[in-house]
Amino acid sequence: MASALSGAGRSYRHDSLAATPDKCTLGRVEVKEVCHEYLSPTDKTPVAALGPVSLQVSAGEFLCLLGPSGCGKSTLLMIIAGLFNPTAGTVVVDGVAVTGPSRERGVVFQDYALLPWKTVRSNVALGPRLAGASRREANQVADEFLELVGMPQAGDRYPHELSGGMRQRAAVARTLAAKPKVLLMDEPFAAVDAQTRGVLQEELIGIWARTAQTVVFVTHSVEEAALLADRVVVMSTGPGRVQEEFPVTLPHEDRFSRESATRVAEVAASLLASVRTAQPRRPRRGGSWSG
Amino acid sequence: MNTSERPKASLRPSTFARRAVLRPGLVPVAVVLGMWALLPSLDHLPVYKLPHLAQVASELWHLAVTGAIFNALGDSLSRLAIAFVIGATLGVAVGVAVALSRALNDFLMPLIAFFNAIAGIAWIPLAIVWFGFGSGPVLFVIANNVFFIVLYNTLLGAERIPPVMYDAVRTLGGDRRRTIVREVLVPGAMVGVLGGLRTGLAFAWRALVAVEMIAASNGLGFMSIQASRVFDGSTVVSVILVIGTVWVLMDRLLLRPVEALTVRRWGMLGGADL
Repeated sequence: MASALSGAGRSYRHDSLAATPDKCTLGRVEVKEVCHEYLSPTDKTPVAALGPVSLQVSAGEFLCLLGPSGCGKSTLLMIIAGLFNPTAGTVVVDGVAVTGPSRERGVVFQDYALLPWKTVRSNVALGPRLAGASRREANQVADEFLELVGMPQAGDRYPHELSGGMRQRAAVARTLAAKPKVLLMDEPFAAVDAQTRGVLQEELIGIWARTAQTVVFVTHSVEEAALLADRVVVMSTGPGRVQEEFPVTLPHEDRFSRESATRVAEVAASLLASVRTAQPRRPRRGGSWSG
Repeated sequence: MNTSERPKASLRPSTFARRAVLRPGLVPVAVVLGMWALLPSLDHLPVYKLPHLAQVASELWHLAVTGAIFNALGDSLSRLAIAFVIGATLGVAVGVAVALSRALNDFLMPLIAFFNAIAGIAWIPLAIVWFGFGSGPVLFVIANNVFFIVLYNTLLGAERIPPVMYDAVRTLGGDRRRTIVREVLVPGAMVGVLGGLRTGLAFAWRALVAVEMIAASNGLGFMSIQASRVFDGSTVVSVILVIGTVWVLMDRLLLRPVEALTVRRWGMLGGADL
């Protein structure tokens, strides 16, 4: 599928979608002692939301951040993306400290974030366009990625004409088309129905097997984490911290089969036990979350 | 201000829009004309209070044949066009600048809120002093009117862009300000901009006639106020009919097609689904 799109002097290189050996050495993420505070809207005092958190993601690894709502897992993802500044600590990707957003770290947002005024093709072509590809090249790349996510016919449609599942496929295609080293996914399948979610999860693993990118995937679903991850990091609340890590050793290609359903369920059960202990205590009257 | 004019989130907005264009309300118009024709015979309404339908029709025919109404319409429409283009261009430009800059926003917003509250026609006396009678005060007052309406709506449109749109473009490599303006801010504010243009044009068209009555020596407003001085009710009503008809045509032929090509096509009207 290699195409001749590598124009001299351009920062955007389009090559094969398949994994190449050097790709597997790129996309190593180190989170070092990261904290995040926000100002309380009522009395403007700082509230610790996250950290300190430290973790490493190897190049090509599929890591799930799992935890109850309010554990700061999405905040951590946005800090890795460079969209939030941490109050303390650093994120380092391939030896370079993160100072802001970059196309090296692509994000798939929960609510798709497709631009409604662009066709699906133009949305997917945006990454290549911003990297300097011509409109024709960018559209060609977009069509390849739309085919990869199984919607080659949808290029001329507008996002509002698509179902939730199709929109999220388009959003994945858009993020992948920008050729990020790291794919950051913020509960991407939370808004679609259960059946579509299952299909999308399996497709994602298929795509990941070909692109071999590092993936950091935020979810609150233990089943989803058990189905997708190489390793699951369970986070606890108040402020968000790493509670426990679970390597998942089942081979990815087997996890979606009926035969391995029991084993996936066992992994999910142990994750659930960990998440339960990470749940926030109920706030006492007066609303304090500490204690 | 314009947002109340947006159609409510109906299930099939496109069907509604299509029907409205195809059947431009001929039946209700016929009913009103019929009532107008019958009214004087039912109640002995004097002609100077409400001229008969037949009188107005013949006056309108006369005005058309002599070309008087077209001259007046031409004068008014060219003023509207000039003032609208000036006001709208400045309104969108300042709106985008204010949406981009926190400092500019903090400085200008109180002023904008104040001037936005002042009806354009409140400026007429001063505008006459500044520009003298004629087109000057009309253009100033109308452009002023359009400017604040378009500016205000552009800002509203920009405010409603979900922040995640900016995040998406920034993580795709769009880190320069110009890119953000081109890819997110301008198209994202389009619902507000178009709403502002529509409201601005509607207000401008209404105000234009009023300003011409006071400050101009030609145009539809002047024609109407001149006629009223000699108790020529037929001409006054003729002008009213022309004003209304021209607005309906502008809306159908200009504003709706633009909307259909942009925000309606993007699914951003009737419950924006971003």
